[in-house]
Amino acid sequence: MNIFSELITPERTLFKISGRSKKRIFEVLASAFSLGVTEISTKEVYEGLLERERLGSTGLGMGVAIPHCRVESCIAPMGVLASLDHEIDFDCSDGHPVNLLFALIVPYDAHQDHLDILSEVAKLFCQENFCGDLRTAKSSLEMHLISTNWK
Amino acid sequence: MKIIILGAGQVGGSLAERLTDENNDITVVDKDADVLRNLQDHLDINTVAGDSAHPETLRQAGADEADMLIAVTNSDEINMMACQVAHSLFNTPTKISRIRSQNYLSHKADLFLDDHIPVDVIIGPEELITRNIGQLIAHPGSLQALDFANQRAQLVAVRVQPGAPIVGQALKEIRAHMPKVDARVAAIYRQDTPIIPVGTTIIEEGDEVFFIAATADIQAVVAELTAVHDRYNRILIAGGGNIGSTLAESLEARYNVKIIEKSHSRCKLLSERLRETIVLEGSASDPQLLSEEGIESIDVFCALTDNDESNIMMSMLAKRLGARKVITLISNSTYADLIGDEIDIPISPQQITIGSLLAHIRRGDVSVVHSLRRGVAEAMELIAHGDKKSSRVVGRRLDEIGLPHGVTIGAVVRGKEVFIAHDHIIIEPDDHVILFVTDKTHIPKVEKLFAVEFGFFS
Repeated sequence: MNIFSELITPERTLFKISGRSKKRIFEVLASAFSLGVTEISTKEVYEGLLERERLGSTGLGMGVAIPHCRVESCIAPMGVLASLDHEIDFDCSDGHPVNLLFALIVPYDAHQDHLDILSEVAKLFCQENFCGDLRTAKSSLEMHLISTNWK
Repeated sequence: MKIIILGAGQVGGSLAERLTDENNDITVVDKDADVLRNLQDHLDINTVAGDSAHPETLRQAGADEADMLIAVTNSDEINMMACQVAHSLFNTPTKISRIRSQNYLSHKADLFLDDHIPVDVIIGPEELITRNIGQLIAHPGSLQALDFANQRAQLVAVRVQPGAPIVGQALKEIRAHMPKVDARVAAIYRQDTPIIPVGTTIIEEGDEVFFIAATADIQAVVAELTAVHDRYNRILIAGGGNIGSTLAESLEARYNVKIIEKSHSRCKLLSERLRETIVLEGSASDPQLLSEEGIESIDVFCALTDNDESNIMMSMLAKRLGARKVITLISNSTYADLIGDEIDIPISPQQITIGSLLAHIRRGDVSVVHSLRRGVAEAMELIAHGDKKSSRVVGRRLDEIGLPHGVTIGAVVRGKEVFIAHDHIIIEPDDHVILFVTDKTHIPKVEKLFAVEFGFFS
């Protein structure tokens, strides 16, 4: 058990999604949040992610990005894990394109917890083996197993 | 950014040129394949020939991946429909549309909403130009007068005139001359070369000075730099089209306004619409008419017909016959480069329109952009976000901020208060920071400087 088991579900783990722009990828990520969680507004998540991104890149570097924002309709922190079919440009500080994403949404009134979650998630993605395993996974189920069982 | 431009007319074409120049991925859509071919000959863009509002055309233009749609076809209706299609079928994040008809614009607040007609940004070039000229007339002696922070602060350009109090003195003397007025000189152009001003910079006659001040203080600073004290009163407008008539309407309560228009039927319409303005039927390139109307006592002559050549010729004529100042609408940028001292203030509709669009294209929370000096320089208003940890500007004194070379901060607007930039001012979250960038190639660095760090939550 780790942080991922609280944030993602197999449904919210997406394998090799296609799309060649931030815009398209954010659309897919945003709609994944409302799968089975009907109170989440896809539109709100989509616009929230875009707006946060406009203020500065959420690219972590080494091919990973963690787009995140606060969302009104969100009750508890939630995530979507996704790998991409094609790398896309994300304005990362290291200049590398991105092919692994973790989208994170938190409630509006979150104050410190969300920062802790973000830094914990970022720490895991900084481990090369972790990202490597996710990139070589063959299915969303495998990605889900890898991420939720990582120690 | 991936941007689709609908309409390859004058605005669409010059937008495409300006935006490809800045590393954007541009697709232009137009019905006319020949116009597109011409454009593609000299620009690195994609083109799609077809009906701009049709879903299939937009799909071909890459609407699935596009970050922005800019609808500038000749038809308000096609522009609005294209925004609707982009919104409903493609979730396009930013939809910008040109809307000209006052009929639509007067219902702006009720019509243009996501659930109704989903246009995020409306551009009305006529409105922008009218406002621009209105500001120039309000500030005698200014070459440019641009609004920031909801008109709380302005950036004004003037040419330093012989006999102005400041000539031959150091910039810091301005403070001694005007103890109650605070202003910041953002840039000085001497023989077209930018000088980054410091307190000891000596002002020379003929310098073009850009300064920022609270709106109420502008005229005092202009007088200091140009020795122009009296306000304008007599305005003569040539051309009673959309721009001319809107300008007359906005000025007639405060100035003595006359308008010259060729067409008899248009004149009739104008005299019904305008209460105070005197409407004259005739040609403004007729010296006799100009003399009869007392051109030598006219403070500002505005040439606003839709013909560049006519505008330039009648402006030169008016100037020779004694008009104090001429303001001339010139769409063709080649002409704008050619003209000399005979025309005091050339107005480029494209540059004004593009400036208003750039605010949406720049990264970060940018509320205003004005494109200056034919697009080489730029003045921008950015909102600072984050805190000392997640931002490189918030929580820092102005002299601690690592600005790129050629960039100056002119003022900081906090709520309703305007703070002229001094070293000790500390940027707070949500401050509006007004910057002058002498060379637009430095803009990406400014965007990076204001970008929040990875850990920031909006």
